[in-house]
Amino acid sequence: MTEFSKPKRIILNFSLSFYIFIFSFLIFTVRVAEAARLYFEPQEQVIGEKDEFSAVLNIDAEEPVNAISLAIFVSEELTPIDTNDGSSIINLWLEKPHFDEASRLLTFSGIIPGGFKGEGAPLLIVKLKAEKEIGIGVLSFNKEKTKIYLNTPYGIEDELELEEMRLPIIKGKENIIIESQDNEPPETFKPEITRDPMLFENKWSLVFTTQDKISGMAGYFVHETTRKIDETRIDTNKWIKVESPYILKDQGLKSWIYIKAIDKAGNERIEILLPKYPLRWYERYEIWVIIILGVAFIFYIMKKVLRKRHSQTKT
Amino acid sequence: MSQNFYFLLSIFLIILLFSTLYFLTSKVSAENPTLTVTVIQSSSCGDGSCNGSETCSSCSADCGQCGGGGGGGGGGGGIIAPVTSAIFSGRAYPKSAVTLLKDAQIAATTIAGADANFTVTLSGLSGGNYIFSVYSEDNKGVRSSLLTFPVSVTSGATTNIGGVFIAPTIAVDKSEVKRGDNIAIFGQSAPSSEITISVNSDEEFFAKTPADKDGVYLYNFDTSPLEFGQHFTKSKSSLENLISSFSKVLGFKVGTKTTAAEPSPSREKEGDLNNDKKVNLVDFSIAAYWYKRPNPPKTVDLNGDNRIDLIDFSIMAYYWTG
Repeated sequence: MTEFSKPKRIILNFSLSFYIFIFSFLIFTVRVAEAARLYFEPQEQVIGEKDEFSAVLNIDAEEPVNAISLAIFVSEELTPIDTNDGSSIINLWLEKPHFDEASRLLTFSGIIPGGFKGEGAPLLIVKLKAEKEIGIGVLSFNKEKTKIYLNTPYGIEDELELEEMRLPIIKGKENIIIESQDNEPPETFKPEITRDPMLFENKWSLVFTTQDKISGMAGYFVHETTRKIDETRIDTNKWIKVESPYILKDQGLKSWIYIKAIDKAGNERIEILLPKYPLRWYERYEIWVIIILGVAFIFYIMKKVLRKRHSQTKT
Repeated sequence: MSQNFYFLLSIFLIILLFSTLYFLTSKVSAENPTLTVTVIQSSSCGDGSCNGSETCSSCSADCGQCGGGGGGGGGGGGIIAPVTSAIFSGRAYPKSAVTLLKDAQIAATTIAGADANFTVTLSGLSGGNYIFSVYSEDNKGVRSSLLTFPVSVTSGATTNIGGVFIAPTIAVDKSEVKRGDNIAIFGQSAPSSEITISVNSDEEFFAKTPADKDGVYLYNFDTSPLEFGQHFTKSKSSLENLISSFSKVLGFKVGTKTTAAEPSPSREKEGDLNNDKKVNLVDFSIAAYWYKRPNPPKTVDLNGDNRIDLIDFSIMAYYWTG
């Protein structure tokens, strides 16, 4: 066995320790890099108490992720006013963003079919307002309720790197007002009529979803009618506010179905589904009205003609 | 002697350090599929520049009045709204059906050429962030994995997304293979592409094989070096500087007997709750109906834990077809 002198042994030990440190560092950093990172990007680094401001919740995903459930704790210095999911990479929402005053948690969940891998992708824009004139507003993650799953067939949870946001609130500071004009209607969409024993006890139901890339979606409305009408002439009170999936009122599928999607700026897009089993002519009351009126008219004319002939033969 | 040992040890450690560094970085970058995104401003009348198909007669606002000629009548006016669209091009499999999803819903389908090249144009878009996905089906009806990529579409412009390379399909001929026997790993990709097959257990094995002129590949993997137990395989393709993402992951067992694989793997049906051979919004709606409800049907409970939670939706999202 090779014997080393004391100084050489110290140098050898030092270099070995150095290399072990470098290896550990590399392995550690690579492991961290493989985790999904969640962080906020506020519009400004310091905010004032007067005006609202926004913060974008972003994700960096080193490995493809496909299911996200988040719970954001909002400190008492801040109040969420609104959220915008228009630019979110989440395609299908299980739970739309909702703020619970009691727990002060802003929660939402949804999926990205096929998965997402990349950096700086927005999940949600949160509009906030400072509640105090001075202090520090904090947005942090509730670790127990924040979960992200990898795009695998096994439902594997991803490691998370969660970064809270701490924003100083300064009295009198004027926040930059960001105004975005949204003149475009929501995206086109294809509602689908479906029936399955596992959904609403096999009743016919309607499934639909769309997105608005600028202001985000506000909601959906449905109108069912057996008569085809111009969609712009449907009375406001005839639209029913619905969520997908929706049990159709007309289980005979004889109705025209109008589905209206409205974004947060009030722009509308209406999609129309034709009746699967349109009314036959004898099922339409207006046809019977026309027939009855026609018969009555013919009867009236015939009666008049007969009376005229009768009077002529008399004379 | 001790000096030489000390010198060699240092050299060894330096080599080890750099090779580790190279291995770690190359492992991350090797899995990145190629994709190029370019944005071309659409030529639109009223945008201040005379370009594209615009002429003095079709767009005097940008190109000025046409000289000469007589009279003629007025009318017209108005600015044509610029078109926001996206053009996708890439490689699938020869004459295969390619499906394009926009935000998880089918937006277009096309048939790839004999050279596996395809192009899809999507118009009527808004400016904003979209998640697009593509997949294809090979000549045996086996579906590829979903290639998903976010694209920021510019309003009033045509966004070109090129270099989309759909991952190969993959299948194995045995669900269980006797240790030491070969297992055939096969599928389809672009013609004449190079297929890299990974067999992953405790140790990862790589093999390369060329695809033929029809894009079909076959590799007989010798299972001698594999331990007894469950193993997984996947493949990716490379051709002319294009690298695909990895295919779906298939499992097989190394044991003491050989069992032929089922023609259609049962896991393919995962997520298809209403048995219409698609995993889409209808299946999502059925699962969403049972989300957090007690006693869900077994067919909806994809991981069999007697509840519908985010894990079930994650599995469904993996098998999504739109």
